[in-house]
Amino acid sequence: MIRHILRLVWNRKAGNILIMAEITISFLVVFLVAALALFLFHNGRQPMGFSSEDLWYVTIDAPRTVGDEAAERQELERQVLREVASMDAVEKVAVVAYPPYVNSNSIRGWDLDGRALQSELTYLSDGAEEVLKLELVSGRWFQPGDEELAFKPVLMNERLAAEIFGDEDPLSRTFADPPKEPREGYKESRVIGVFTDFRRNGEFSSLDNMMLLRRQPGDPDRQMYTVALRMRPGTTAQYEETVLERLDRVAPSWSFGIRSVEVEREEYRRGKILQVVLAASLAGFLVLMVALGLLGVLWQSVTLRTQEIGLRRATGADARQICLQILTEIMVVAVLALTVGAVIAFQLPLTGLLDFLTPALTFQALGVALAFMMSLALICGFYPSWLATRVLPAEALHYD
Amino acid sequence: MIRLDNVAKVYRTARMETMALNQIDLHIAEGEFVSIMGPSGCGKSTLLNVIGLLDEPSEGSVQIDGTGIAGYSDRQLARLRNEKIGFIFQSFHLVPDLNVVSNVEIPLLYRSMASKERRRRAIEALQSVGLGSRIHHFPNELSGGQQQRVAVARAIIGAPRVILADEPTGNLDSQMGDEIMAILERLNQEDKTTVVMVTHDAEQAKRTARTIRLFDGRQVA
Ligand SMILES: Nc1ncnc2c1ncn2[C@@H]1O[C@H](COP(=O)(O)OP(=O)(O)OP(=O)(O)O)[C@@H](O)[C@H]1O
Ligand SMILES: [Mg+2]
Repeated sequence: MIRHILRLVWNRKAGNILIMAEITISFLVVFLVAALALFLFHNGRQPMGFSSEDLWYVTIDAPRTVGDEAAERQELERQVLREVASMDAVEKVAVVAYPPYVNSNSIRGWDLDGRALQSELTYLSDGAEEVLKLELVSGRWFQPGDEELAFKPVLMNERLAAEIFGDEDPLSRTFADPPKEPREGYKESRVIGVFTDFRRNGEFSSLDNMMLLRRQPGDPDRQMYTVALRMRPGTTAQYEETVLERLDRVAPSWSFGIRSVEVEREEYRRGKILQVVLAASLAGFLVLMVALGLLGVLWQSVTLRTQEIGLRRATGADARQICLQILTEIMVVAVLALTVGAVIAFQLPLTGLLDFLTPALTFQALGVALAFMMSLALICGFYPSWLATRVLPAEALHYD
Repeated sequence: MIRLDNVAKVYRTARMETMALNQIDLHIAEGEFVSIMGPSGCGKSTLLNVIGLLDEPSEGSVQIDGTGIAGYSDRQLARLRNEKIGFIFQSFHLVPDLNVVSNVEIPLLYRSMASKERRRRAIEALQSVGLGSRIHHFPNELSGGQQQRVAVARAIIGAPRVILADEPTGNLDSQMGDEIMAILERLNQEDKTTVVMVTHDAEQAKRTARTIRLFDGRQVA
């Protein structure tokens, strides 16, 4: 029987190709939405590594100065930090060069024994781990006196440490080839500690490499643009004004802004959820259209085949066998279409257009999309198959 | 072989009630070749459908090969049709998307059988109607007479004891019609298959052992 059905499907390929195309396309859309949702879901279950609660940051807009002209700025930077630290509602303050949800970052790429590595990096001053509430895994944080070290101290998140050193202990290890031409004042970088993570873009962001470098306020070459504040629990938004007023008094020529990370996080999260909801509704709409189209085409093909169905009934098929045959035909078409879809889906990560598609994610999304589309085909196929059982053979065979 | 007692068939639609068959008592013995004649709309096809278990009578009882079918389930009826009855229709009713040999195999799909064996029997049946060389053609590549011969092959592949033919030559010219008649006669004589044939052709009716005449749902001769 299955051979007979395959023959039928094959001989009707002209009519089936449209249904197949519809199923393949919806499968790919469902696959992409599932991949996106799974990606965000998996990310959401990973720790962010820092606490956004009661975390604020101040942005500083000051004229750019470096080197010898920087003396005044350097002093002001230290004063700003002292001023903030002295406020009642502030538990702790530190320089954090790229605070959470700030839409700029710094990426460093380098070679190690011919291997290309890449990591995001953030500059922190001593004690910033307490402001952000980062978690240390091994080693230590930056501390006063680190500028005297013969090397440049660096902390890494677990992901980056594992990528570079695998199972080996990363502490005290260097991780970049020295420059080809010796530079004045070059210090080799060494790992002094490993922390869980610092996912600046929140719980839905991808898991990336992160590296922390030390930068104290009053650095001659690197200006301070952002300062993070750990507020006492329960501090309300009204206090933001107080902070700004007091900073204006310290540095009237600079302008300051202030943001709550928790508020940013909420906005970001809403944006992300909206993204998924939009993608899912769009996909849902498409799938609904396709499902209705599918139902229509299948229904039509059954009504066009009443004679054949009547003939089969006359020659000995019972209603159940007719239902099974139509359903099997539909499923054969669906399986063919989904095979094509799966092959295409496997090529997608290779195109590099969808950088979040890891092999594991591809497999999971493939599973979800396959199960979904098979159920859809089954549901859409059920009505026409049932309809086929209602064909009265005597009537079906009566007319030409 | 076939026995109808006081069979009536009423079609009810919203607007009217049609008495397609009325008080039919009929006995057709094994190996008989019977023709059914009557004006259009008198109930010939309805009678054939009732005999062929495609339609249930509104009243009366039907027996095939000694078994009464009252209370039979859809599944049991389908099985009886498959084993005991072969149908031939005026408009052939071949499946256009299947080639000749696959069309002929259809009745055997509803029996458990190896596909090789199905194919073998289909080719045999096609050879017996003189179409052994056309097995891979599609129905639209054949003449009307050839198509009807495919339908005959399909009707006989399951070796049924009864063949029900509803105007089998109605769509054919007289020469092709004669060929079909000849095959039916051969089946009747050589295999002792019971044949019941509806026809409008008095010449054909004369060639059968007995003619049943219907008028307005009633048997008049
Ligand atoms: N499914 C149905 N619903 C309603 N009425 C029907 C149905 N089938 C047949 N009839 C009616 O029953 C009567 C007998 O129909 P039937 O098809 O048996 O006639 P027939 O003798 O085979 O005619 P023809 O020579 O034109 O084929 C007709 O009046 C027809 O209109
Ligand atoms: Mg008729």
